[in-house]
Amino acid sequence: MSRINLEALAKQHPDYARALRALQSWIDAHEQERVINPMKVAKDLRQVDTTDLAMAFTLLHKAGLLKRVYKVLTPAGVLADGEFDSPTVIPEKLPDRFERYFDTSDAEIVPVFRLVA
Amino acid sequence: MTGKPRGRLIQAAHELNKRIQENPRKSLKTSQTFYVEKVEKGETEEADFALLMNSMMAAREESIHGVPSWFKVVGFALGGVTLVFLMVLVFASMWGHSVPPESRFLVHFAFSLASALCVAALGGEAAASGNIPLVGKHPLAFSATGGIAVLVIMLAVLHWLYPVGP
Repeated sequence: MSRINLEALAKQHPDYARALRALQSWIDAHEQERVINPMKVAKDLRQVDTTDLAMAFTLLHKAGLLKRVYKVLTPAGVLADGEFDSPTVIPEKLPDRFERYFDTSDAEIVPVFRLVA
Repeated sequence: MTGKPRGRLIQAAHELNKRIQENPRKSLKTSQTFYVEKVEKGETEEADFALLMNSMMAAREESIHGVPSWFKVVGFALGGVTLVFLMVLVFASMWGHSVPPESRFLVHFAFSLASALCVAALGGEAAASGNIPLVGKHPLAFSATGGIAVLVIMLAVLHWLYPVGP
């Protein structure tokens, strides 16, 4: 049983139906994940256009199915544990997953999504 | 369609990407400044969309230069083959079919090469997933260096422990 059903949203937005259905399949295949990392989704769903995928995430967020939070990519290329409600409150130093602090000045901000349902 | 026209959202993503490319060492500050500017203009949706697009584009670009998805499978397969190879040698020697001294180098080389390829594959995959500190964004370089190092060390150690020749 799927945790969320995007079929109604796909019918409302036929231009993004393919992206929404691909996202639905990805969510169903990753049942254990409560937080969706769009970077991972973008890598896994290469057949879907990036803009359409970003639109699909935006639609889900606007529909209240996802909550957006912000994380930072460590120099090793993984997400740091810290989670922020706005990109403007990210501090200059953050601990990576090995508890070593890194300078965030050249780090990338990654919006990630929590499943609301 | 979202509340904003698609074109405006894409334009915002391009604008953020351009600013980051101009000053990549200050990408966080650039993104924060961009975000604040957009929010002040009432364009929060554009700002959020631009951040999302930017990270997704970067992920796709990075995966082109990262390790292939089959690295992990190859690593485990080679590890398994090496183990089976060693077990066969052990059983063969138990039944009186030990490796002749003049063929030891071939056994050393086969074992070392399989171990090196196994380490290169699994090490590269671990580095790419961020499980090894200090590697940064160069998993392929780590994979190649690790594999060569293991090959040299294994050959040296095996040669020292079991000298070739009668």
